[in-house]
Amino acid sequence: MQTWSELSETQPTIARVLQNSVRRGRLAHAYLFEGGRGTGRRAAALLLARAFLCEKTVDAEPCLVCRECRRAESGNHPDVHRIQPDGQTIKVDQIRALKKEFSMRGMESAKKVYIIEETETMSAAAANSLLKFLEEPEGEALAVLITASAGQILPTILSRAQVMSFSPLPPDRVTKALVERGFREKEARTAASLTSDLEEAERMFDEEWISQGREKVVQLMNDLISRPQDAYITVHETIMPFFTDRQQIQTALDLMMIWYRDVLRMQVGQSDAVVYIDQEDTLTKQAFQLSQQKLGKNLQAVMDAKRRAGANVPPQLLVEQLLLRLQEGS
Amino acid sequence: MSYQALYRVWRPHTLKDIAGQDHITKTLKNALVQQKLSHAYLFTGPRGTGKTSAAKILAKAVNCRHAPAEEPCNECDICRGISDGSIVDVMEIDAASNNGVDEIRDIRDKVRFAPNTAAYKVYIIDEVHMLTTGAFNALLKTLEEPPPHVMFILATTEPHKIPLTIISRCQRFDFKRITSHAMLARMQEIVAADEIAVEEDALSLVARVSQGGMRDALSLLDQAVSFAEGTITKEDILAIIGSVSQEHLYELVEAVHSGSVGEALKMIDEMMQTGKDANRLMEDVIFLLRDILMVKAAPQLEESQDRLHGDDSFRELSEKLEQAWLFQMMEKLNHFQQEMKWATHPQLFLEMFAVQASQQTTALPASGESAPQSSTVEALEQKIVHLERTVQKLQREGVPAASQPQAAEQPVKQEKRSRNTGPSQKSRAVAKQVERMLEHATKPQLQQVKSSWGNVLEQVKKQSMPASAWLNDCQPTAASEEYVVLVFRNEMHRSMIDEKFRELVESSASQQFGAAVTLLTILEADWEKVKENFKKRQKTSPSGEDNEESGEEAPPEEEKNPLIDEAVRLVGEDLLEIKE
Repeated sequence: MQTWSELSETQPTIARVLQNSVRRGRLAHAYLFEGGRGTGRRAAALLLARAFLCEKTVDAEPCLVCRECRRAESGNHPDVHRIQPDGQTIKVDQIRALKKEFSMRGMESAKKVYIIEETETMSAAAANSLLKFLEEPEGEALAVLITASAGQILPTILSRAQVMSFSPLPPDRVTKALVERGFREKEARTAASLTSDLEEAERMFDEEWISQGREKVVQLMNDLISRPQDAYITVHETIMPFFTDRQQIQTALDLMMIWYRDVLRMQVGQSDAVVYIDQEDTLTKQAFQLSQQKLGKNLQAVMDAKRRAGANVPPQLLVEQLLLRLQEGS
Repeated sequence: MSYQALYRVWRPHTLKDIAGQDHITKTLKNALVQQKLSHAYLFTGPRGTGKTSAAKILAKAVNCRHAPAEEPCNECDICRGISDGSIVDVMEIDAASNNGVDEIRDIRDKVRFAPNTAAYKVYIIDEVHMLTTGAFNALLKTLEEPPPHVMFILATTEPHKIPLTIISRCQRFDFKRITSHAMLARMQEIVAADEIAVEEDALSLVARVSQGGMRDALSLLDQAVSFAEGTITKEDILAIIGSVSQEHLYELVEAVHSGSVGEALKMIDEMMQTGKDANRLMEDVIFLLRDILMVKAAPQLEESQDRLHGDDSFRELSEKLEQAWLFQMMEKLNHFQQEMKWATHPQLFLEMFAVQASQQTTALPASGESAPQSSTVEALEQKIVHLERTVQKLQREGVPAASQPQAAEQPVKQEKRSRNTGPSQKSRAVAKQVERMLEHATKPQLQQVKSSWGNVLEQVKKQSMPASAWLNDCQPTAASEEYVVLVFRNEMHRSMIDEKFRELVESSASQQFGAAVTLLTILEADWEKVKENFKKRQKTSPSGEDNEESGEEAPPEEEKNPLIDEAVRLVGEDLLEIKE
């Protein structure tokens, strides 16, 4: 993403606000970009930084050829600071260092930019020590905070920044793009519903990972209804060896979530909105057997499991407990 | 000088500019005039309500050349010096970054020295909740008995993190969320001064969504100025915050209330496709329900009058919804909203809300007001449904039996025969009924049956495990107002349901659909045939033949069927070729 017009294809509102701000010289000193993976937050942050630094902007578009633009892109600009989590969190010392850096004049011009990635990982101390600085920075500073969900950020930070919510790309778009690159539709759809990041989706196709994982989850969901006793064996023999790390368990849970969503869609007669397009028979069958209330409960169970997966629960226990809950009362 | 955000430019510089905190500004003004200032203040309250601003103003007011006066003059050298930070007697300390004991010790040591230029040394300690315990305790003595020329102002959003010993040594002022009324007035002032063209509606929307934080409101206004071409309209604001218009919200709530999950899901899908924010949508629904509740509970309030005025669809909606339902929904919504904040798929929570809330509608009458009696009511309901069905049956079958003995005999005979001659025949007998019924069958009916079939299963299971086991194999394939066709793959299952569990299933189904329902059970093979016949007739009937004729057409096929069936049974379908 190099220009505002490119950004406006996917995020029209945000592109318009930012471009107009640059054009009219009313750029705020702090922005918070919120949105899921692959929505273009990072690229937009870079674009904003360039538009802010570039000396030869044409109608708020950065020229992309001047020294400032090129160095900002390559990450060599001395006045563009990036902060990333040091380990699990962003530490208070990182913010202190940043503040110290900003108490000095810019290397070349008076303008300085800082971009904080994964802002939600800031420790409480770090977040609080950013507050004063965020509100009234010294000199001409531009802050861009990037986060996955604004709900996890201190309200006092939110109110100091202009919050831009990046909306997720419609899955259809990603599906289409994937199909165009030669992937099968049924898998493309699944991948697209898992992430809106095209590159990440493509990575899922490495060694057919997604199609295998998909098959396995489908098998489990099938077993749950038709052979409830065998489901535990399925988990042990196929699911656990395949979805090994925490991230992959999350994906497996996502796949289950999508499954139940599909069943629900089937039940209310929206078969065109289904993700598992090749499983229509099984979905229809399950749609008859599960009441909506039960489906709601199942979805809730998967959600709970997802949250626990983020909190260091052993995956095996997690999935088994989930199965018990899914079979509850059935 | 680069551009400054509105909320920085318009940071209040006098006490009277602080919006919506009259209880605080009045006290402070009086204290200033009467020279009865305390040596330590604690300002608490949510973000964007004016704590830091009030602290800064107070620091100026006590040191101003014109003191004692209600307000700082903002013109004398001291006021200006404090504003631009050149007077070191007013110190603004960021407690979040200087939170250790050492920093507090430093303050303690320097407190003793007399001020440089101003009359008082004022320490503004912002975000004071971040001080460590050691730091708090180190501050205690100084805070209680500072030298006469010192004043402490502590400001924080989280008063619960501050030790009680600190709180008791300060005069505490709780800043409230700014009411939308006060916010509106302040924004109008700013808009007028900055010559920003903006619609009245848009401003009140801004005030509403910023939930009592002036800074949030001005941030949003700032974005809107950048976004809009010319006058800022309500739509601009909606687009920026990713919210949907009220009309869409009404539709969504109505869909959920009437229990049509499909429609609600579709709406949510559409809204998300157009880039709306799921969190925001959830919040909007909560606020809408809250408004309705308010209007219902206290219609005479000024606020409810405002809301009702000129919004007919809102009035309609509020009349339709019951209070009990609203309470339940609010509870659910609050729960989901909490969960949503941490989730990466927020849309799903919306969908879950739609599903669960729609369920609520159907379950409500039972669990409504008379919870203790609900089981008896349920039993009575069941009985009534049962009675209704018998009456209908009698009407249908009993009355003609009296007038046309022939016709009455036939089914009896058929039934007898079917018992004797074996199962598939029986299924075929039903096939005829099914054919007749198909004329009245409709797609929406079927959709309704399909979507709540799971509920029927669950209910059956509650009453009899074996019944639900037999039912597992079947699928509802057609439905009219009084009939539901169930297709079985296995004759055994069919006959079990048909003979043994018919009552049970029918009563559960009737209860679920809210009308008496009769089951028609049929085998898959027969169903296919019936379907074919029906389709054929559908095709032929528009071409001149009317319904009666097509009705006549059926019997001969009926005659033919047993023969072919017999043949199929003997040699199998693959080997047969049927010639007319």
